[in-house]
Amino acid sequence: MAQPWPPEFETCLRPHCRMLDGDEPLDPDVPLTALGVDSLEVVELIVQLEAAFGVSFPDEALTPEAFATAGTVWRALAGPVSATMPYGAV
Amino acid sequence: MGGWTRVEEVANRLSTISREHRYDPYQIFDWPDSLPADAYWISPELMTCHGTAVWNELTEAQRVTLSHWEAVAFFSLNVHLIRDLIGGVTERIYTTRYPGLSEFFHDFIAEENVHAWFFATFCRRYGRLYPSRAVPLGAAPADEVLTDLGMFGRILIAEELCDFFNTKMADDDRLPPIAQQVNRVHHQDEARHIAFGRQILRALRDEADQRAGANGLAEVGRYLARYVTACLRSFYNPQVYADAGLPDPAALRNRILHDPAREAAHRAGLDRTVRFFQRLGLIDPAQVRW
Repeated sequence: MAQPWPPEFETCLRPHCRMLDGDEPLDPDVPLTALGVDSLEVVELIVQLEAAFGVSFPDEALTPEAFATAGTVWRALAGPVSATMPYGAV
Repeated sequence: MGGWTRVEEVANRLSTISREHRYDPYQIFDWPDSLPADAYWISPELMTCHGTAVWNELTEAQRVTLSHWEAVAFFSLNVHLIRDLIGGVTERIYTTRYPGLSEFFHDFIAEENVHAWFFATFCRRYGRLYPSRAVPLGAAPADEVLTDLGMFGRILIAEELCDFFNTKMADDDRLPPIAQQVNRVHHQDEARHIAFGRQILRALRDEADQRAGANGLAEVGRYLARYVTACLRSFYNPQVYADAGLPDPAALRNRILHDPAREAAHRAGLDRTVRFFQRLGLIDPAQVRW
């Protein structure tokens, strides 16, 4: 199944999912806390995602709801990413 | 003397000192209408890009402007750390867990509330209060002793790092007097909080060892080692670089953060603290990602 995000997103996120095996697919709807992500992992994750995509998460996007699942994190990031691309393409 | 008896004795002594030196924060600070645009507001040696290739690329004017936003960001960070800290201690005041510490907790909460006020006042007068970039996620350990060991450990790490900055800036004549004073006043109170923090951590550590054993201590130790990294990372806010007018702030933050010069700066700020935790058998310095 194709993931709804580019490979570099998963490259950033997977190492922080301490309970996710190397060959296990990253489910967009599984709670990140169930995958071993906590607030300390999120600090590093934000730095890496912002560096990889050249954007900053807006302050209002830094909420537990936005970091609930891989899918919600990607949707929180996709907005700023789209804004930097021609014609809003992601 | 037993661990908790010692903690209460230290806490009572610190409370006495606090009450003898209580001050009115609304009177002691002389807030100027503005701060000099051509002066550093945070010691340049403490700036996030000091010693890096980025630092060498900046003009003196850019460094000075950046220092304004980094000073405001540092104080903003203190405000949010204090929010977490006040919440944690408030939850424990008048509980059966710490029966002899509630008087000290009152002083602690009162002083931290004052600190949050004067840090926030500086930010709002001369820049802005940066929002917290922390995202609360995950659950605390089920064992309350491990939870408390993690919480008070986290508090001590943040306090000692901020105090490292305060101590250096308290008498730095390059900074506006109000910046020096804010740092100085905070340091004077924080010295008592740190003394208490180290004492309670010894008692909590011994308690955790009895109740949760080596595995429990290792779990908390791993958490605190990660917290050291997270605490240091929180100083690098791309919005600060943007506000200072520097281009491509996210990429800039990444360059600065990964410059080899930064590890030495991080170690200067927290090496002593990590070694304290090492002596407690909690943090293995090799686990810390500097």
